[in-house]
Amino acid sequence: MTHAGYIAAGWSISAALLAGYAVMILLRGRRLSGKVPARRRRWMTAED
Amino acid sequence: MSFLLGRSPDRSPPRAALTHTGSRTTRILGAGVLVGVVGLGLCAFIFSPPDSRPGPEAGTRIGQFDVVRLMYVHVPAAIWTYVALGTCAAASAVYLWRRSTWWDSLAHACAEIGVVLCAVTLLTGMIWGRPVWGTWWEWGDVRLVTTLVLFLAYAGYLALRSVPAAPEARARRAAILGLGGAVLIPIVNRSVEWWENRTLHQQSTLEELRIEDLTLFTLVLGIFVMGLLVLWLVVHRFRLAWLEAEAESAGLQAALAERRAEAAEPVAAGAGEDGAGEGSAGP
Repeated sequence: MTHAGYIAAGWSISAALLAGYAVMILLRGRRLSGKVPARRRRWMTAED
Repeated sequence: MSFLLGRSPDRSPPRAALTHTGSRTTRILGAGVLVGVVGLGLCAFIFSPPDSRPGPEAGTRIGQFDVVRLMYVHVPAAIWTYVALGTCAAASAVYLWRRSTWWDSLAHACAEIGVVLCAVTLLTGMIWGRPVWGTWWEWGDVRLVTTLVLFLAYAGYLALRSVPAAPEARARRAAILGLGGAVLIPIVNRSVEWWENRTLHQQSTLEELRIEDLTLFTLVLGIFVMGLLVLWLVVHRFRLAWLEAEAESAGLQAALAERRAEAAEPVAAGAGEDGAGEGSAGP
């Protein structure tokens, strides 16, 4: 494979950025969920 | 759009034990993203061929060779940057009309995701440009510079949102910037045609279908998988923005209640003293 270093760098940086951002959102959501009453979190329903 | 927030609590009881922004919808989407990423990886690295064509001289070959595999991330990221920031602009416009937290939260979510995708676009473009163009960055290239301006404009939008202000004032200012920034989207997208002599970028290969077979399939698969990921991110980020607004509102209510209690204390104390005076002076 030609230019393997560039390809690895491009995919790794993209994966790290997107995965890191996704994890950050999930963690912030968990932290904030505790501060908001369950009735105000509409996605927290028995069927969903 | 109800999947963003789920059913109304009046229609089904909440589960108080769960404390996250996930739901059945996001779990299905997340599973789809994981399966899609595996499929994209297989297509990008194993099944799709390198970009190589016969050169003008006999026995030579030209093309991007294996670096074309970066396009399976770069192009989808660029396309979904436009979609995310365009949605931010549309949601901002509706917010200015309806003044609803729902649209403000959607605009905020899409702007943040658009900025992350724009960063991915810029970084993968730079990494691709080094072996193909021989440079990481070219200030004379109109596509590169306008994309950077788009990134900075919406990074500014996020910075503006973090400035302490009343929620309505903050949302209004952000909506104006979010809507105005959308002017840049068609400029970035069409720049290679409008200023074709001032760019290293080639014309769009997707619109004219100048690529074929597995390369095209992998590119379309990349766009689809990135779309699923963006949808998953938007749902979670929207719910997070909703939680932020709720927590801010709850904090404001608590602070107001505390202030009212503080303001009522001297009056109550004064009333108590008056009451005692009256009692002692009674018949």
